[in-house]
Amino acid sequence: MTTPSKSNGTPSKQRRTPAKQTSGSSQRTPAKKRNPLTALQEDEPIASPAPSSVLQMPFTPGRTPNKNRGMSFSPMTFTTSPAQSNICASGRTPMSTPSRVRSDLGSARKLRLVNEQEELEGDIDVNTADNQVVIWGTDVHVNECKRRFILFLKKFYLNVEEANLEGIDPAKPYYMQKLEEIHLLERPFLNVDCSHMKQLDKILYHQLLIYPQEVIPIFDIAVNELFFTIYADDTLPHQIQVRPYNVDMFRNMRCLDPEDIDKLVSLTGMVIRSSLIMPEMRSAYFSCNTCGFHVQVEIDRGRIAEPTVCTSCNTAHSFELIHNRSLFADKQFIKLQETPEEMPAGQTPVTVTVVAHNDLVDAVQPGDRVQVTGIFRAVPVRINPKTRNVRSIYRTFIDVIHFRRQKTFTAEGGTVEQATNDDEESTSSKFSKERLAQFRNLSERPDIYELLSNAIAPSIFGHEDIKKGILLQLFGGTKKSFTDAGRKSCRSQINILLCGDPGTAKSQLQQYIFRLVPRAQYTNGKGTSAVGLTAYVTKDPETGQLVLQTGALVLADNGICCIDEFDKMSESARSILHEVMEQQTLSIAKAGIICTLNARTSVLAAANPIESQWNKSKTIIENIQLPPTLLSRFDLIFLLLDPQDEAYDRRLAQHLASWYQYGKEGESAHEAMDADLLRDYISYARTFVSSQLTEAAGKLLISS
Amino acid sequence: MPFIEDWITHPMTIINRLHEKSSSTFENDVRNYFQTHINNLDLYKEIPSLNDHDDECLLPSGCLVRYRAMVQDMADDEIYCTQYKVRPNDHHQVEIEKSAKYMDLFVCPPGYTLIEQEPPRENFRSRQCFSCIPIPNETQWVKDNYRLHFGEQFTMQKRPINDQDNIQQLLSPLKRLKTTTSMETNNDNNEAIVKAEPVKTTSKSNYMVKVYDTTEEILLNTMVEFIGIYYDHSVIKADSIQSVNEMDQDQLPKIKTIHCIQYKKLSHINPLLYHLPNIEFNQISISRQYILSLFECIFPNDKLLCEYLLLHLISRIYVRQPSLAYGKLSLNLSHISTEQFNALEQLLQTILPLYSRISITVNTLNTMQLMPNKNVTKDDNENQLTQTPLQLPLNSHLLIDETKMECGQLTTLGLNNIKLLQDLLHQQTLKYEFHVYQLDYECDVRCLIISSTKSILPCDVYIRYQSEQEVNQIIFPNITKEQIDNIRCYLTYVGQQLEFDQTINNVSSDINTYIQEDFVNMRKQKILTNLDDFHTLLVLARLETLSYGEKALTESYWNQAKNLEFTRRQRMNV
Repeated sequence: MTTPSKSNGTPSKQRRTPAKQTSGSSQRTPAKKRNPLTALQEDEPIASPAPSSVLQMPFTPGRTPNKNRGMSFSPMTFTTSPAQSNICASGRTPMSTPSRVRSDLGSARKLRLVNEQEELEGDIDVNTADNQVVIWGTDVHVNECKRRFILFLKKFYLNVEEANLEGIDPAKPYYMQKLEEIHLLERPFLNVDCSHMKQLDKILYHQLLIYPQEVIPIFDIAVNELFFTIYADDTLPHQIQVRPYNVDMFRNMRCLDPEDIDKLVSLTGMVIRSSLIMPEMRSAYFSCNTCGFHVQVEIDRGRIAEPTVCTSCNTAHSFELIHNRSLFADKQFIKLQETPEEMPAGQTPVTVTVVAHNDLVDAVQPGDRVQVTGIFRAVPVRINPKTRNVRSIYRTFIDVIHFRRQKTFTAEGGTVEQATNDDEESTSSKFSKERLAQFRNLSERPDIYELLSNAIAPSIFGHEDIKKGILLQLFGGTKKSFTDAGRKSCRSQINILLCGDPGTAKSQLQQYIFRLVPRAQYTNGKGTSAVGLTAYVTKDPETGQLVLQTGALVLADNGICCIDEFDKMSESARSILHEVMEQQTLSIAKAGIICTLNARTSVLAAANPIESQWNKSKTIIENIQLPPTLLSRFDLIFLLLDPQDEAYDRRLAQHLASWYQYGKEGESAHEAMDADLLRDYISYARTFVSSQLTEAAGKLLISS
Repeated sequence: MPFIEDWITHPMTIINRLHEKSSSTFENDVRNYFQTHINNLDLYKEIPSLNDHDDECLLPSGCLVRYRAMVQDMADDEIYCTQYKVRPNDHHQVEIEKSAKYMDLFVCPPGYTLIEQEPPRENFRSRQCFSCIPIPNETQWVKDNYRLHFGEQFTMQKRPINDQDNIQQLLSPLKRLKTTTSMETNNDNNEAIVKAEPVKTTSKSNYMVKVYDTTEEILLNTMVEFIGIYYDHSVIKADSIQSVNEMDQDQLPKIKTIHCIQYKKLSHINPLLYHLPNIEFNQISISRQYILSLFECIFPNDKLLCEYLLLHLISRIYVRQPSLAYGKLSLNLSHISTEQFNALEQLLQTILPLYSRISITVNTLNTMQLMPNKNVTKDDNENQLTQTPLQLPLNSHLLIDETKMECGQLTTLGLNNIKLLQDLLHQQTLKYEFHVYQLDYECDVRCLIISSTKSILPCDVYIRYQSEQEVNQIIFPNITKEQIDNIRCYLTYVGQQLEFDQTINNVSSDINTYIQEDFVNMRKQKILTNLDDFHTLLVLARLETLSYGEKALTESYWNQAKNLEFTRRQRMNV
């Protein structure tokens, strides 16, 4: 059964039928996203007056354009979706929701659908009620796949812990709440975490990975059906598009190899460049010069076939392209570069080209760290028509389906900006399940404190207390807010001053911390000016505009700022620290720019005593010789003294000699904890754990 | 050998033949075939070397070549199609499947047409692409010796292999110095050196090497000898944001391609050492004497400086820790005359396989970009790492000439350059700029700073040359070519030694307790307060031991190192 309006009918083998109008009587929303899929509904009766056809003008009777609030679709746009839903007949959605071609899934290769009933392919135990439509070359059963996906949406619950993080109700199915969100916000994109799907339905997950360009349209149909059953009266700007993300197969773009072509992959990288937005023709509008007959031709394998003969008046070569009636989709090339953490040592970063379509265009800017989910593709390098050479090289790129911007090391929950964009999600899933379990195991160990402090700078001998102090600084405290009482808040970071004889590994400790913490800055007091620490205003060489450049303290916001040679710092630079270390902000009034920047950093400073060597006959204050106002801002002050004791020296020599020889510890008494684990553990704790003082502990504090 | 002639000029025909014979075992067959040929030294020598073809290369496309190179940049992996089909023109419908390995362009034999089709996914493979340059700063004698020992026979016929000739050639720079005393010629000489400074951005000797089925990792800046098929068409880039039409054939950089069949990583490039895998023990001490005597010609009456110079030349990093590198010994010499400087430079060029020099002044620091950077914002075709004088292979020697430094203000670029050099000296790491972030790469470059007074850059050891009389004339003793070769071998060989005695780690070992006692005593006497000094002492003792060809640290070497260091400190404190 085909649409009555179809002029040239090849009913059984449908490839591309722009004018095809289907509506579901059996399926509630005839959500048709991609043309090939119209074929699967072919057998269903057409219930509605099918107005849109090649011959007719774009307005469909059931649609009132103003109902599409705020959407910039011209009436023309509606015709682009030849398979728009017209649900008047079923009466479920009086207002239509237009569908929209998904260019991210690509039109490079058209699917072939096989109705097993018709083609008698293989052995079929045909359930007569249910058509066993299979996509050619795959094991994807359309209806089965749809059913499974709906089941997944309805059945998937987050566990309590994760639900609390996401701020949703764990008692309701997670994705049903997401659909509700779509209903409220009218942002018709459903982001599906593939790890959720993996938990519930492995088969579906694997189908999605292997045949994304076949399976995702089915998901689209399924989710639209589901949505319009629940929110029948809704009108969305266009139909809901499913965007899967977080495929656990690949994290590293180095691992992409030919086996992954046309599969769904996820990878992380940094955006280094994005091209201008390019309009890509999706559908060309040709009009006959002789009789005014017009034809719309959709893109097929990246080409548009110009009709040669007018079907209406039989004139040859009379067609003319009317480009302002043709339809275009946005397209953008983005270059992604490997993130520094993923790089094997001694190799240069690799890059991957990523192609973003429609809404995802301009979703990321250069410098962003993103997780991209998309379909990996390889196309032959197009042959230059001038040369006869054929190349064996294939150009590879990724068609993006989902972008997710990754947040960097953030500390307090309050500062995390509310995710205005669905693409941006919390860091919880930054860690794998195993890592989280590892954290939990670690945290239950009784010797966790020692274990962690030993893991800090293992190459530095002794100084256990200092390492513990630094560890506390790394974790930070809980931010207390006193907004009710009229004060801003109380800082949660602690500042540490290391003071001691030269050559007692102060700088090495700082260097270690600088390398450990993601947002750390290291400066040397001797060469640092006040502006270098805070912020300075420069003139942009190109535009001549004033630009605020931030210094070390602001850059280390939510991190640690290591300042070496603190005593040799100039007075003016040191005075800057007063504000930063207590108020955790930085006020700037320079060259027409007045502002207050956040500088919630912990300061780890190192200083030598006033006479370079610690003078035992003097008091601590006399030895350090820093202004008391500044000194009071350090919560912990450590003295690193040379004990000048023989036994100590001997052990030290042993330690050093062994390090020098092999770079490993001679007496490896305590098990080593690697720096990555430590880093992750700290960042997890900083993000998710905010400790509270119990009453008993409070009393103990007071009494002591 | 059925096709002995073919294998160098037309390796592809052999590869195709092997593919036709059995396409399943084809890859192994190719590897074995070439392996057996290459292992035969005589056959190996027949392969033309790209390093010897400096001038505009006349090699035919598609021939087998050798290429001794450094991996300068890594391009993204490339996906290619392993097979393609051709059909005879007379439509007999017998399609022939051909291998597309080791080529970029499908070759279609005459009388056949290519069948264009989308290949099945299984036919895709990926290969690694490296952008390579001839090893930077190879000294002339290394090139000459490679030509001598491994050069093609037919090119060598032109040049009679005459030992006598070679000595003249080798020592010619020294001889020239011997005969000239006037300042003019010296200046000329100096300028010539400056001109010959190796930082050339020659693109003609750059090659894109495509490596198949790599099992081990090839890192940036490693020295590799590739044997592969040379194609003279320029690189075909698969990946480009711009549409292919915009790529004008003329605008493409003329970088040629090599499809690698076999490669070998080189740990050193001293051609002499390939003939002598082991050096006799007494040879080592003789060479040690020779080299010290050569140094003493330049720095008469300063044994201390010469000893340090030797230790510096054999230093090498053996263990790395985050932010620390053990085993390096950067040296800062000051108060030496121009003549001495020139002579030293000539000498180093004669005995070291890799030698480079940069001269830093306020002006050069402010204008020269020392950090290698990849500019991705530019056009795709130029998306390549720019090489700078600091991007050097492992175990290079870098002379930093600071004698012309004057007062002046540094710009941001200048400051960054200073920072870069400081990191290089301190941690032996070099930052590379990759547009959105910078990355540290480990390197192992022996840095020798020549300055008029103490250098502004941090150095492990600083020595002031001390002598009563002004040195104006430097006369090298007569040494035979053999002796020079021995010195070259000695330096490379000793510098390669990483394995060292393990007893120091053993708590009960004598030497360990001895060192500990010594340390405690020195602390008591307050002559060793800084732990860094202790580290330096340990490194010195290690190098001292190695320089004698020994592998175990003994008390005497420890004391020798201690004496050396304390004499030096005494001199510096005066």
